[in-house]
Amino acid sequence: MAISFIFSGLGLLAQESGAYESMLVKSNKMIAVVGVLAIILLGIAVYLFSLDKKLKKLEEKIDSN
Amino acid sequence: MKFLNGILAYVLLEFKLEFRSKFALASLLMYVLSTIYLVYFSLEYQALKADLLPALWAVFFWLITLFTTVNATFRSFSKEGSSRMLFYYTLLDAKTFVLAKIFFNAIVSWVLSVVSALMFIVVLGNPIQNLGIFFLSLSIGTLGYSILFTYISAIAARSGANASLSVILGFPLAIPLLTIIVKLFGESFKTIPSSNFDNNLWIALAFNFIPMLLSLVLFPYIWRD
Amino acid sequence: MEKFLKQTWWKILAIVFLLYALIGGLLVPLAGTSSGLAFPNMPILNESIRNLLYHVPMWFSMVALLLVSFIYSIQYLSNANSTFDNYANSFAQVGVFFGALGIFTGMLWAKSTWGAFWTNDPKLNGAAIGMLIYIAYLILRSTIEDELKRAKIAASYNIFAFIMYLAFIFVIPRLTDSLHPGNGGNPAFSSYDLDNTLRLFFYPATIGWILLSFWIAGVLSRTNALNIKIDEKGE
Repeated sequence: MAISFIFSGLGLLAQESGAYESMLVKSNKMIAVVGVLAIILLGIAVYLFSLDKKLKKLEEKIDSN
Repeated sequence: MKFLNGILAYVLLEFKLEFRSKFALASLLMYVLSTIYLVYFSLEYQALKADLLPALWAVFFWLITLFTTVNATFRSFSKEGSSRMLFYYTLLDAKTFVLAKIFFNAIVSWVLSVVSALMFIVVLGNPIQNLGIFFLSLSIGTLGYSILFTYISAIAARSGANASLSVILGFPLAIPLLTIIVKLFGESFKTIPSSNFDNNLWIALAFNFIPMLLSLVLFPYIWRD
Repeated sequence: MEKFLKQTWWKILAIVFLLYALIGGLLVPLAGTSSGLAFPNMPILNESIRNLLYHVPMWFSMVALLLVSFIYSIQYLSNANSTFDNYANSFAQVGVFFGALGIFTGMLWAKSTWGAFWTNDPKLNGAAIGMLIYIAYLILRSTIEDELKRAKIAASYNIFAFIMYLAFIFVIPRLTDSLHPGNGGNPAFSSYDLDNTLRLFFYPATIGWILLSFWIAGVLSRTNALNIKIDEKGE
């Protein structure tokens, strides 16, 4: 079942991907997507670091009294 | 030898207590019978193709056996009050206790599954061709369920929850054994078993052996307070 | 572990690896469109081969987190220290979270690759059962009030469940064909596993995600530890 599905899809997809490929290369807009994702990732990192800092302060506060 | 005697003594004690209150075993039996009748009715009024029936037979049979085993094992722990647990604790060590519990539960669940198989034959017909494989898979399956759920029920009972917790904890762990046992059991519907019968048999035995070993190692930790 | 969770170097390493895998994974072209550095262009997968760098590390992270949880459960049974129980609990929680991410990303990828959100695939089923087991573990924890009892019973369930789960993952693929690479007529994992370009990004991505997941688990376990300390002071 799965195998026959794969083989029937094979030829079709191979044709489509060529056109898609050239469109992707021409437009050169992928860099914007990469930028967005990088900002999200860095944002999460900064936020996690700030959580770490908060935790450190709390840990020191609890240990001191 | 002393170890075996301890196990035997405990199993006998369990049976004695079980037969003293006739209601206890009867309620388990009723549970099985009414569930099977439910299955029978739900299947009887559907337009079923005859070639689907053996598969449904096996799947329903093992699901009902699973639920019965969960109920029986959980009951065998929940009926022990804390004072009786303390009493056993002074008499038996954890390994003897867990082995005895497993044997007791396996016997109960084996008997109940034979009864439900007979019921299935009466109401749904008899697809079984190979009695040897039928009893072999029945024994391995019920033993495997009993091992798994003796441990899980002990955990559920110790946490003070009801039987539904042992379903939540145990069902995901029971899936591999259920899958392989239904496959193995299906072989009893043919006169000649298929070529990967041995392979499946070893996997089923492994799913008896692994939880058995783990319960022996881990049970002492949940047994002590 | 306590010291390790408070260090900074590996968190920076995680970010660097993830950025590298993110940028590289999206910008490296597929084979056939340009010469030089390129990912293999496989049938059916095509562009979505890049998902290998984002979906698969979720599973690696989940398994790594559950392994840590398992190890701390063993530690707890040999030495009843509430810190160990805290680690076992926190890592299992984050493990379930990463497992959920893995399932949802996998469903999306499966829809575009195999045409269905859910297929009877050993790897999918293995992942789903792992989630069920560890959600059950968290439910078990929530039903027990007494801390010592909870820690001990949860640890013994965790050990039992993890080993059963390992056995299950090894056995179930032998029962049916898998749609995943290397089984049942699919492009074999090894053919692109051996592709050096993919490997160049896949390993850093995996390490990066595992480190990030440990970071999150660290934040959670430190919060839980603070809670325990506050409770102790209150008494």
